[in-house]
Amino acid sequence: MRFHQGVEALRDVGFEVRSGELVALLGPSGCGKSTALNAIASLISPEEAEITGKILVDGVDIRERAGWDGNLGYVFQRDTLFPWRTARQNVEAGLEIRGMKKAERQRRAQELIDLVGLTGFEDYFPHQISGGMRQRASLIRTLAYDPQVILMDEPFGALDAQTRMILQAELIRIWAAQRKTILFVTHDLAEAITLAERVILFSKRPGTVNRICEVPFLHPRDPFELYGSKEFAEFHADIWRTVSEEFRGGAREAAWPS
Amino acid sequence: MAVMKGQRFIALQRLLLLSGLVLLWEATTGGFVPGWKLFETALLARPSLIAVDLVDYAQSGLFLTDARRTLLEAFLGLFFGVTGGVALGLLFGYWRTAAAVLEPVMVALNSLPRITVAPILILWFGLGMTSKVLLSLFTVFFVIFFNTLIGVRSVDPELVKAVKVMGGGPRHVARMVVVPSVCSWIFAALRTSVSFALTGAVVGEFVGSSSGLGYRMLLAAGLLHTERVFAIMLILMVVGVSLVEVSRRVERYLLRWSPGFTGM
Repeated sequence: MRFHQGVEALRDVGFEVRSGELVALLGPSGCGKSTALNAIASLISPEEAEITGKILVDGVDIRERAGWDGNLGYVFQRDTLFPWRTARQNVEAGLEIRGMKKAERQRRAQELIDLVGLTGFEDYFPHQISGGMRQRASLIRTLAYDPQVILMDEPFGALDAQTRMILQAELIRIWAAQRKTILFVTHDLAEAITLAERVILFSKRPGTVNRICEVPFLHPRDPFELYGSKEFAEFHADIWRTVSEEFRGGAREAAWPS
Repeated sequence: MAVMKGQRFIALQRLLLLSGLVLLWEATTGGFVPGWKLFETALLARPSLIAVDLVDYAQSGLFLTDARRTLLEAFLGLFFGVTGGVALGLLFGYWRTAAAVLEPVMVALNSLPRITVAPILILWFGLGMTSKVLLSLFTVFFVIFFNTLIGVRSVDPELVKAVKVMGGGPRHVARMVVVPSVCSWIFAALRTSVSFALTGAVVGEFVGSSSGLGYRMLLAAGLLHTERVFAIMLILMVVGVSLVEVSRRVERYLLRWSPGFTGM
């Protein structure tokens, strides 16, 4: 895939995600992971970039299907809550688009609010709650309208380490219960192997798939326990050898753009 | 508790300072020692006499006509200025060609000191209300116009993306993102607009009118009826402060979601 300004962002990217699977896309910054997500989400217009190749969902190219038609969730790096809507109204947004009745909308929103422990903060505006709460609200805003596939672009990247781990645990819990197909982009190896069943390792630009590895830990995992374990450390070290080379290259390129 | 005490203390200090100044003013304009004054009362009216004149004016029936007229001018100017500013701001925001061609014109008109159009408006529309409404409109229009334009241009593309991903069409993008975003910029300009509208109306009356607070004031100044001039200034101050306070509260309510208004 090549942007019309000339940057080739992705080359020969081929991978498959099974229904109900939680997969992580791991790679150095600027490797095109987010671009890949945007392409999958049909957020890249033909005027912006040329996409050669296919993006198949249930065997049909997404671009021929005229987009996802709301069957997709996307949790962005920066929470994209509407600042003028309360937490509850934010969670209801997708349901509103679907024309759901108010009472039903509120009931559904409340369920999810309770699920992630935002109870008591329903009527707060985004600027009045913490970053962790905002990302929780973003996550359940996506879950609310029950999309088939959820894309997550470093959703916990801006959070402190502790909050991040709590949210990772919550994501695992929710995913284990609802079995959504989740494609999770991150540049944090520990996060990738904590969450995902498989990790797709991207190389630096133009991004391409370097390696795909199965993560051996059984789900549902507890990030707090996993982090300290010996198996985690061993597996982390194993993949780190591959990852570190890419990351070093990525850093060099970022420091001296050609 | 300490804060409350501090606030009460400040209020007390303000009251003392104000009383002190008024007493000083009264004294230096011959209010206490007959025959002794520092200022000519034809130029600086004595506070007690201003108060008397204020009551006179209020009872004469003129006050009601004048105030009603000026406020109506300001209100109509505000209404049409806001409406026009929003409409043209939206048009410029979405119709890029128009914006590209006409923006220098708008910038030039905006740089023109607003009041300078008053004489020509009087010439065109006469001494009646129309010319004042138009002047008021003209002063308000640009504030709202530019804020609306910025509002349209600063719509967060990430939020638009979020609505699209959720399956929302242009209608949802408008309702969930564009309208609230643009409105926040318009609301933020409302306070300034209110005081601009009043200024426009009063200045219009200065330039040429047959009634209204500004007209009455100019008339009084010409007759060296200084008490009346000060009385009307006082009225305008009270009206201005009240209007701005009301719009500040409206703004604070409407923009309660905005980080800038935390805890206010």
